[in-house]
Amino acid sequence: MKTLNKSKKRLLVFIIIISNIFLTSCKSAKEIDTLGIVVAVGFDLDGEDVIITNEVINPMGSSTSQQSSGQESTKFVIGQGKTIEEAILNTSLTFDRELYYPHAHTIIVGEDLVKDGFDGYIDMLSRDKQLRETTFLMVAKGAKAYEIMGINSGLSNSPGRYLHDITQENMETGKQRPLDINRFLKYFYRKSGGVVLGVVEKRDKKTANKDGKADTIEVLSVEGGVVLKEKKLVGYFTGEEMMGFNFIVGEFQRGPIVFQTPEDDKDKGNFKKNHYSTFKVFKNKTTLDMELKKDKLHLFIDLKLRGALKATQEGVDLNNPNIVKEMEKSIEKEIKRKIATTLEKAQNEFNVDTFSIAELTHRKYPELWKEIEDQWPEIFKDLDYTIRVDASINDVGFINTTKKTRESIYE
Amino acid sequence: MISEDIIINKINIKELFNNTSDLVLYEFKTVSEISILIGYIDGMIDTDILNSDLIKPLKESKKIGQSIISEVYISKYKEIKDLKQAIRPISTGGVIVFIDGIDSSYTFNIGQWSKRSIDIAQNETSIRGPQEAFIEDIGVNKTLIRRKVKSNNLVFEDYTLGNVTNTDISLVYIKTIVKMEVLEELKSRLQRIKTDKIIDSGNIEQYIDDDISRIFASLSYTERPDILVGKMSEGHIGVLCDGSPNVLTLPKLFIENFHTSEDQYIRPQYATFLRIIRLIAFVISFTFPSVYLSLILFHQEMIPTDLLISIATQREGVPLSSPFEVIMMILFFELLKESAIRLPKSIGQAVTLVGGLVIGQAAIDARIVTATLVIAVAVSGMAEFVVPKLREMITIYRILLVLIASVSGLYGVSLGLVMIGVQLTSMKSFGIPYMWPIAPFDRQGMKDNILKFPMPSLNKRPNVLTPKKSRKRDEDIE
Repeated sequence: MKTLNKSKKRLLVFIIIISNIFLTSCKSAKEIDTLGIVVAVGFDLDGEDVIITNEVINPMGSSTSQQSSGQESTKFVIGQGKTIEEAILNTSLTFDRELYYPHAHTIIVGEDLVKDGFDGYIDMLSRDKQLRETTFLMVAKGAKAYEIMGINSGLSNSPGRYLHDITQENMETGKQRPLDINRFLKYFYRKSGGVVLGVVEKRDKKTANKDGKADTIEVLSVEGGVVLKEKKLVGYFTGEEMMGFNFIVGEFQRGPIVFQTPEDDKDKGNFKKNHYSTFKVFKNKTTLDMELKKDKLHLFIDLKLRGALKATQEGVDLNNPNIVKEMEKSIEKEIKRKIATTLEKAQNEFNVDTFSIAELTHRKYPELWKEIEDQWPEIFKDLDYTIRVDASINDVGFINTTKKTRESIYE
Repeated sequence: MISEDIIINKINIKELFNNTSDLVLYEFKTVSEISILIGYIDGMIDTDILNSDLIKPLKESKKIGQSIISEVYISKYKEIKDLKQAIRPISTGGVIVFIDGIDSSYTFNIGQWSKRSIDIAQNETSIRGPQEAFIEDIGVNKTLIRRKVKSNNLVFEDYTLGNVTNTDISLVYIKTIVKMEVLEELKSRLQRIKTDKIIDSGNIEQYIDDDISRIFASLSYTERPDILVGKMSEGHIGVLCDGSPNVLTLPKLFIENFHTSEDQYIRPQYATFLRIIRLIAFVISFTFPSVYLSLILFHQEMIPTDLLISIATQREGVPLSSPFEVIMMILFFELLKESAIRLPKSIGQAVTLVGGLVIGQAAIDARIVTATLVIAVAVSGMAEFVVPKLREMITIYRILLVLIASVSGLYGVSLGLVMIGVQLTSMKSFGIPYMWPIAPFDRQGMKDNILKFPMPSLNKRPNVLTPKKSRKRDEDIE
């Protein structure tokens, strides 16, 4: 190659830089005041059409420092069309800002649409550049999405933020399933098995007001989960069942377990019947294992929990190691019951494997899997399982004997 | 040529200085009736010394001839054979003496003129350490250096530059430490200077810089003798210029911009912390407005939702486009800075107050600019003052990056930063890599330049700045 002289070299460098800037297919600049920032999206079905409800931030209503003229903090922009994309574009006919989705933290899907079959609509979730993969996806239980979206009974300044915040804050109860788009799609497109998605439900709740009269307000609750089988809705898990579900899939990390205090026994303490204590889990490790026993698959669910005793009944002497062991046994029993209930419902009522047990079998017995792949739903229905729980109370709090016991000791 | 007749000499010297009004010529006779003519420039000499040590002994001298030197009590003298040789001594505080009947003359340097006294450093202030600063007089400056380095290896080399101003220039270095290649390079560049005036060391800088088309200077300057001496002890060379309180130091390393004299005197842990702060400030100072602009225009998804809502609220009703808003604020800030520097000190503060508080707040209230933007520009402006030596570069590149950012967002900003990086790493200052010790990497240099290790653990001199046989610092220099 010929050596270029200095001015030619400079020109070449200049051209490279300029083309670097202009040939990158970068989108052009957009001023913030031309964007409608969407914080929550709802999908619904209306006959043949899809209705998309966007909760858009109203900048003038959101300011806290200035005395805004009583404007709403958000506006609801609704579009209708044959596909979701068309519905979004149709909003521009009636709304003055370009909808901007990266800050949408929750997507609510109406029950109708999920019953109809989710498949045809969610392609856009992964294909669209603007939606974040960390956006939470939820199903409106027994309602349309737009019926849910206007409710704000929290302290957040918009309903969308309220919904997002309760989804995130409630992670500690283990009674719900915050699933984002990324993880949802991972479960959704697999060959066998279903998905458990989070739900959101409108509830009436008693509240107090200044006048001292009893009153009810509408709140949103994210307790429970919805079960999708073959990409369609088949039923719901309750909050209790979701705890069992989260124990099986290993997503129960922290949360309270209410269990029955062990029954009366003279040697071990002086308990009353049918009283409950609370145990707060702070660490849980679930291990699933599959074994072939006499040509039959057998599932092992192993849990190892550590936690603290948060509240118990009067008269329990926690200085006695035997009593602590009894308590632990009672916790284990409670957890086993929860897991069994969930598995029972999944096997018999829905007959859908939402726990990724199919993947486990595939991994463990790849040869066998090829044979049984087609009969998996039947095999899952009759699957035997053993639950082994090892709970340990690591902390009993500041006091270890209740008042009554202490009195009886020092008398 | 000098005549034997002092009348002719008198006419000649008047003609030589073009009858300038400040040339004083005084003719007198000794006790032995010999006519003597002395000439000097008014205000450039010490008249007490002139009277007591020159005129008095000459007047009282009984026999005068070639032995004039032994009669006079002044040691700085020079014999003049040609009248033209006398121009420079007379202009620098010399007294020329003609004796009737002798065809040569002498100049005696008794120069003394009014000059500023040594003052506290104004621009490079420090809490701990020496406070004195250089002044405009090169002789005093030399003394200041010599008082700090009591060694026979401290060398001054004098030059005269500018065929009108005839400014005195002096190179200063420590002979055993300096790298000869650098010194030779500097000398050859100095000899290439052809100009009529050198008024400040800044003029020399422009002639001997590696590449004047670059915004990064390959020379540094200081007004503090302790900094100069500290640098000389690591192989740097100083260039003193008469009439300038700023002494050039070279070669320059990029990292020097983040050093202050105080780093050497305070606890090393704190000095390290301060240096990291300065590095962060440097990055903030020229990238902050452009990064802000790219986020606002192109990458709204990268802003946390709450902040985005807050900015959107502020943007509502602002008529200007964001790039214009940023450039306007930057220009406004430059205006404020320039007016505060140029105005007398007492008014300067008022300007800052009015400009900063009143206009800034009013502009936000009137919805001409957004408050977040004002914060972004103000923070970058604050950060600029942390590294004042890079002020020129920061100001220019800040605006360039804002322009790129308004066209192509963060991609453009990173492209701009890469280009600045390429420019910096390709630079050399008098043959020394500009980015040392970062590129080329040098572990020993990092200890002293990026971080600040305690003095006892730094016992090697920087290897790029000193000769190969670089000794340890605690060994003797012969």
